[in-house]
Amino acid sequence: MKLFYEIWVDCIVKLQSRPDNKNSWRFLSMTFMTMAMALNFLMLLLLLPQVFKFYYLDINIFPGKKLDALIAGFILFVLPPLCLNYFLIFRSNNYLMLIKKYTYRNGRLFMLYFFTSISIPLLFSIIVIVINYKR
Amino acid sequence: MSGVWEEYADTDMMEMGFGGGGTIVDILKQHRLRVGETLAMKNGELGYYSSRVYSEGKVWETIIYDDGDPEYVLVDNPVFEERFDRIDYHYQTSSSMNYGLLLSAMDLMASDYASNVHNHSTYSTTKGITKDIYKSNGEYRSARAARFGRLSKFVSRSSIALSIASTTYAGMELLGQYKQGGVKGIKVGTAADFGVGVVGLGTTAAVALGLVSNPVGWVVGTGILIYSGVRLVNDIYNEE
Repeated sequence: MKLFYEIWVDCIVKLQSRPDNKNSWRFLSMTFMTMAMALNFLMLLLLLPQVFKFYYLDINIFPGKKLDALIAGFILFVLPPLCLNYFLIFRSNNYLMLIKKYTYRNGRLFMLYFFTSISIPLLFSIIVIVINYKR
Repeated sequence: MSGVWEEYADTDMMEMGFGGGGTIVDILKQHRLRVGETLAMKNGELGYYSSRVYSEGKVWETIIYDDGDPEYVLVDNPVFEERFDRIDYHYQTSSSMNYGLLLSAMDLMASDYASNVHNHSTYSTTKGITKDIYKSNGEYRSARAARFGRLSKFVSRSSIALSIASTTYAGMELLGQYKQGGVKGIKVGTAADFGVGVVGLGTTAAVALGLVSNPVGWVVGTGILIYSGVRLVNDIYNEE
């Protein structure tokens, strides 16, 4: 949990340090951290399909497939980290206490975590495209 | 007004509101591009570039040719920025100045994009002056600034929302196809959507963190998001 909080503190302080993010750092930090966690969770599901066999939701409400997939994906991947982050970081302004407690690493820790989290799925999708392109 | 272009210190440039350092030519060029001045061919030369400056208590229209020869024309009834009041410029010529037309045109396009679409901190007035959207106390500078600020915020936030949406729906489809047929069961289109969504997310983060601070980065990010939006709408109207 220490690492989790350190990454969060790094993310919040880094975003706060830029004047452009003056009014949006809460939204941005929540978005980036939540999406990084969601992508990591998705990769875990792809790596261990047998373990998470039950973890799937099939919705058929809207025309087309993508809107249904969006709702299902939001419930399965985005909502859990979103709730976790809200309750651990932003509820009762917990982040104020965390910023005092943990060291700020000039955003390096957060950037390492975030860009690693998005690089793995990106690499995976490139591999899939290369393998299946000719088929 | 002759001799060599003076090199101004960073602090002077910051005081003038242009940011950064460099020669006054660079700063003027940045400013004129930012306010949307036209770059054009003239008499077969590479291009020219004009700027309005304040010197010796008067306002001059400066025309700078790519071969380095400037012309100065006194402007009647000038409208100029307040900050020009405080600083007396000494504009001089440079023999080393030689901007390529292509490079300048690319700069202009990127700058126009930044000024009109994705600039979150400044706006151009009807008189062609670039002003900060916010005052130092965080208030909007004017009703026009407020409109630009709101539009900018809308564009920025919808970009992020679309990026999240494309990553989420493509991720879910990817998982479904993977469960049915393994890696070979995943459609190329789904993998491409997923990859594009992730890149869009990464670009948005890079801009927010200041890693990509130039308009070219924003152009790339917006292109990716347009792709995601088109794919989403296309799927609704053309069910497979």
